[in-house]
Amino acid sequence: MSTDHMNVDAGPETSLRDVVTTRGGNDPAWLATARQDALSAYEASSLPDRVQHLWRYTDPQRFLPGERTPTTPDSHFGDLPADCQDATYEHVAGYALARDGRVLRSALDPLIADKKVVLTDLCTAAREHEDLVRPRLFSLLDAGGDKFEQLSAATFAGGTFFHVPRNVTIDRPFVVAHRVGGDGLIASRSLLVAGEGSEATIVFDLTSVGDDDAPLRHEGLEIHVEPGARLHVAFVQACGKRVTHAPVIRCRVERDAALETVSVALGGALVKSLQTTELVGKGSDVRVLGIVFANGRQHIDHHTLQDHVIGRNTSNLDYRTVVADRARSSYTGNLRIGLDGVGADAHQSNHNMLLSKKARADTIPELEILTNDVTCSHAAACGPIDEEMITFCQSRGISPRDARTLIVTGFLEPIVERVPGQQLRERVRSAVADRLDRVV
Amino acid sequence: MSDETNTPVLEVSDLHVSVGGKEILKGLNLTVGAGETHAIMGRNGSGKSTLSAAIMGNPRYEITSGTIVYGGQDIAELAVHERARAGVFLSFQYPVALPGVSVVNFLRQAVRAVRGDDVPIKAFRPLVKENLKILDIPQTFMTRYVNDGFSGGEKKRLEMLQMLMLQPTLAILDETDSGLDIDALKVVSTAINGLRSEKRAQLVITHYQRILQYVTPDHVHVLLDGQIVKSGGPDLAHELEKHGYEWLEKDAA
Ligand SMILES: Nc1ncnc2c1ncn2[C@@H]1O[C@H](COP(=O)(O)OP(=O)(O)O)[C@@H](O)[C@H]1O
Ligand SMILES: [Mg+2]
Repeated sequence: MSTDHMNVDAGPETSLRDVVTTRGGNDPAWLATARQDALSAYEASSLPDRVQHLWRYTDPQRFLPGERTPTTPDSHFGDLPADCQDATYEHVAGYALARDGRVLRSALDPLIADKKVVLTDLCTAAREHEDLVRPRLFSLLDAGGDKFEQLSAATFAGGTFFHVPRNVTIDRPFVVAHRVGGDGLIASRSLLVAGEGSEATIVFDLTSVGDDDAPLRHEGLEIHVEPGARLHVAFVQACGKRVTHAPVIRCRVERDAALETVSVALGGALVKSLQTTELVGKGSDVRVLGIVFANGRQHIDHHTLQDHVIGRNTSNLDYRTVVADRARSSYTGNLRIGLDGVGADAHQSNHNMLLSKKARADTIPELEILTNDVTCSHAAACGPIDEEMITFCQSRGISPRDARTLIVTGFLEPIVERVPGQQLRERVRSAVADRLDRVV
Repeated sequence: MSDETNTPVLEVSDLHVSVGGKEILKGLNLTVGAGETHAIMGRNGSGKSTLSAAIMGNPRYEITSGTIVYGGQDIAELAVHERARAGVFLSFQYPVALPGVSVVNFLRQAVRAVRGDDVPIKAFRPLVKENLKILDIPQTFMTRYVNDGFSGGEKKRLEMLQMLMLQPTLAILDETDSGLDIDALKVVSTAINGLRSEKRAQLVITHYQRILQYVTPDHVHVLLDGQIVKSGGPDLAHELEKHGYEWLEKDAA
């Protein structure tokens, strides 16, 4: 449709080809080939069509690399987050430190390593665990045919590979701390696999090095939740205010499996997040939770799809947005029940709180139901804080400012409390509190 | 000294209040002295909640003329939270839910705001515990979200818990009795009676005399179409019960 966009960045892509070849040089042949194929697909595909609601509110051109070249990952992580200093593995099961798209170092509780859990860089895993990686890597990509997803598949510097073997259950979370810097293109790919009957939690702590760093990060994630497995994943994105961030998260949930994802979006100048979840078996349970808290001139755009390919399962989406100053949030969500989706129980809700007159939030929840006998609902709302709530708090002596803080915090809390890992959760709470301090 | 003790806690004079351009209170006069409990009775729509909202200072209720003097001071310029800090408390007829805000957190903030000082957790805990006991509220209440998914009775008990925590000088109870079963009514009455003292005053708004069997008022007033049309002692409540409000409507006409 938009063929006129096709060769927008044809120039710099010659250098992309070099990078793809260089990076593929360390990969097994099958992966090097996959990179080249992805680059060709990237080059051949047009920019997403803005008529479709997925890109209605955000200009895809802003996610093209343009003059940016892929960043060579820094080999120093910097100061460790508190969660990754837990040498005795009391609160975490293991951690990985990533810089500019590549995992530099990872460590596991020895007891968990014994259970053959793998947490390492994806490129390393492709060499050392081909049996685990090769059948799954890029297998979920076709679902949406996203141009930028091909870009990360071609140019990724590395990423997280996480595998929990069959029937292994782990009570503490794994933490992946990923820090980015510079102003180049940072591409990464991650692959998470919860094997049959396993149970695990993994959190992604995404930050940038300094406030002035302004990279373009294209991050692709594939999440496989195999039959009967339970996986809980959190993404806490608190990058600096100049970062452009485009995560694409593809999830596949099999029969009797459970997946809960919690996404916290606080940072970035421009964010376009896409998350799709396919339910391909009965008895599964999916929760897609998220908060967005934007201020200044941040522009944060989220799209979600829960696709009940097979029915007799449940999905619940709850996204909550707070926008202040001149910030803008767009949320578009689709709930799809396929022809074989009989018995699906699916709900989505998106509530938006506007803290200033110039802040803006758009919300478009959609339903696409191709069969009968399903229970579906969607709810969406946008508005300022309810004055009656403020008056009620005031009647207990609480100042209007403290009342607003209390109400907004409360609005976000049911999602925040689902962030695993106490230290990370507390960091989210204090980041929310700091921001509220500036905007209420 | 004697001057101070003689100052009424609340003095409402010729109060006119409009909501959305419509006049609801039409020249209301009411004086509540220290140590006194007054009952205000009146059928639905007579303006009882409007009076309580005006005393609390809800900005949606516009005072077009008249004054509200609290502790000798005209409080027209005070915002709702400033009135609360000065010792005014309103138990809402329809308490507002605060999703995501736990009861314990809310109480802590309220107590801190009203006292103007943080209460050490060591002192706060036993205080809460004691009040929970008085109100027969389970400990599990504390981690629930304020009024979120609460039954009518639970909301009213939570209002009473807030009152006991804040120890107000003037407590206005807007139909705190409605929707309560007899056991809950007794518990709530105990809380109200426990707060009675020489320095405090209470305004019990109700349209049944039922609660007045447990909380004996010093004075009873009847509110009709935005004005107090009759005042008397506790017996007035019984008469109203017998004769209904029509009896007064004729008088007023
Ligand atoms: N917030 C409001 N907006 C519009 N009308 C109101 C509002 N509050 C009260 N009223 C009107 O004022 C009148 C008195 O109401 P209210 O004070 O609630 O009476 P009561 O508490 O005695 O039942 C009623 O006619 C009611 O409809
Ligand atoms: Mg009323």
